Amino acid sequence: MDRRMSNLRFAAVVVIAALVLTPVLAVAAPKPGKPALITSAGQSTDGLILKTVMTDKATGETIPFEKLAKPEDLKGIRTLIVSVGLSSKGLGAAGINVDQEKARVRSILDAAKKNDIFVIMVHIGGTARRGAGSDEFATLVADYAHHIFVVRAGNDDGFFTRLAQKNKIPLTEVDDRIAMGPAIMKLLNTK
Amino acid sequence: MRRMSRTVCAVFAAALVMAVAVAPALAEPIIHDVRPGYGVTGIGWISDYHAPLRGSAVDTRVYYLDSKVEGPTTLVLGGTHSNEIAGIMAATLLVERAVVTTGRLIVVPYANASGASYADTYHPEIGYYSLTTESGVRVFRYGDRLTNPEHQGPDADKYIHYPSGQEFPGYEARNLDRAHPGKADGNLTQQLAYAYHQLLLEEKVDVAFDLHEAGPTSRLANMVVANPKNIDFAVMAIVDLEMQGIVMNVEHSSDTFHGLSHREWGDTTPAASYLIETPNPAQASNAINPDVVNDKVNPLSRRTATHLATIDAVLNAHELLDGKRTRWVGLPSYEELVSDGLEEYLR
Repeated sequence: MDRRMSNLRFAAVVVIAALVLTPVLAVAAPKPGKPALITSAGQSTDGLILKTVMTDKATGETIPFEKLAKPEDLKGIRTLIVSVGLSSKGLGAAGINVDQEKARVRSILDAAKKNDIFVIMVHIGGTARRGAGSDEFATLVADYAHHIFVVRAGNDDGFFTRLAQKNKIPLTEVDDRIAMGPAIMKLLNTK
Repeated sequence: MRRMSRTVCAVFAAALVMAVAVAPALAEPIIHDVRPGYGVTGIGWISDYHAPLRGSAVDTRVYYLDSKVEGPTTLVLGGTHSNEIAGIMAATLLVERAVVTTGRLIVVPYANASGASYADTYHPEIGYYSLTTESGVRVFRYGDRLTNPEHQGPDADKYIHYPSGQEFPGYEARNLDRAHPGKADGNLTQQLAYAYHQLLLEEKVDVAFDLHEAGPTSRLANMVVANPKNIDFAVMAIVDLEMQGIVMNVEHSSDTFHGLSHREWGDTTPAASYLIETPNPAQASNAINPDVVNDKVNPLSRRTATHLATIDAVLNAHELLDGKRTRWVGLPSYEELVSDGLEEYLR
């Protein structure tokens, strides 16, 4: 009898704990917002393009772009936007190799996860910026991402759709690079 | 007697070497059909920047369009590769129609005139192309990518780029876009590159464009390649172009591939340097009887318009960030050039 009571008491505690903690855990999930920071994963020019299309021409308001952002650059940041696209020329211009870039990207994503920062993965380069190297970076970033944005032409083969499904995160497709800026801004401005 | 014989042989050998070295200089400059408009304020030669080229087959006309209003100097080269004709046509239109209102424009439509002295090696059947303008039929050479071997002499097995020491196949010794920043006492093509380098420095060029074409399925087609120091301007330009419905891509100069204009000009002169590529149907690897003028997908008028629109967009980006650009009037808009055709605007 005592043992049954003890089991019942334990079950009750578990249920109550679950009921109490579930909303707390839900609240703790990161939400998009500003301030945001754009960085590259692969050093193509796409990060710079993304910054340009996210700049309000009238007001000049923009999202900062740090092509070689490090964990310490995340101080005060609510959303990390990662522009995926591998360019050997871009790596050369940045003075790093592909392994160093992977390590940098992984370190900033780990820091974002640790600090509950919302991570957006963006592929803006269309078919021209697809390939084994770029896809490898996309797979790496998707594991940390909370939302994927892609220019439709770059997802012809459903690669980004599969990444979103695998990571159970939303995917937004846009028609072209110009449409990418307003689409991400809309998410960042969500109340 | 034997010493005498050796001396005679040595003198003969030296004379032979000198004759071979001088031989290219004996060729005449090639005059192409470019009809300067009212905006042209001066005409010179590339040999003005490197005298040994005077009278050679690579000497070519340099057109100056000076507004006499303070502003930046912009350089536009067409015909670095003489089979990449949209760049030649864009440069020709600038010479024939542009009237510069701010700053100065320097244009060389046939940057490697020797390449335009013989038919394209891959499509010799093209030979020439023609456009019927208001003044009649105008005929232009569809030349080759490389300096004419008759002007430079046979290729060695390897070509070593100066000053990087990078090794290329021997035929690249005749490729102007593997020769920058050039060598004053190098081969004919290296000397030509040297002359452009001197032009950039002496004329204090602020922004430089080298106009090219690539195969329609090439990664390079519809591309702006920019020296890393001025990549921001190129990015702004392609976003601006996309808003106009013109889709271009952008990439950095490689830091491991030497001799290209955008890399070497940007690294060795103060100029912001860009290379623009449009898709030429004749440069597809499987092209059979390509129509380089009236191709249905990539007609010459659209390719030329893309070059001009891209130049304009890059200069707009410079104006936005630097507060100044070379400005001109007299050219058709992108839409006008695409819809009316190149023939309407050539003199």
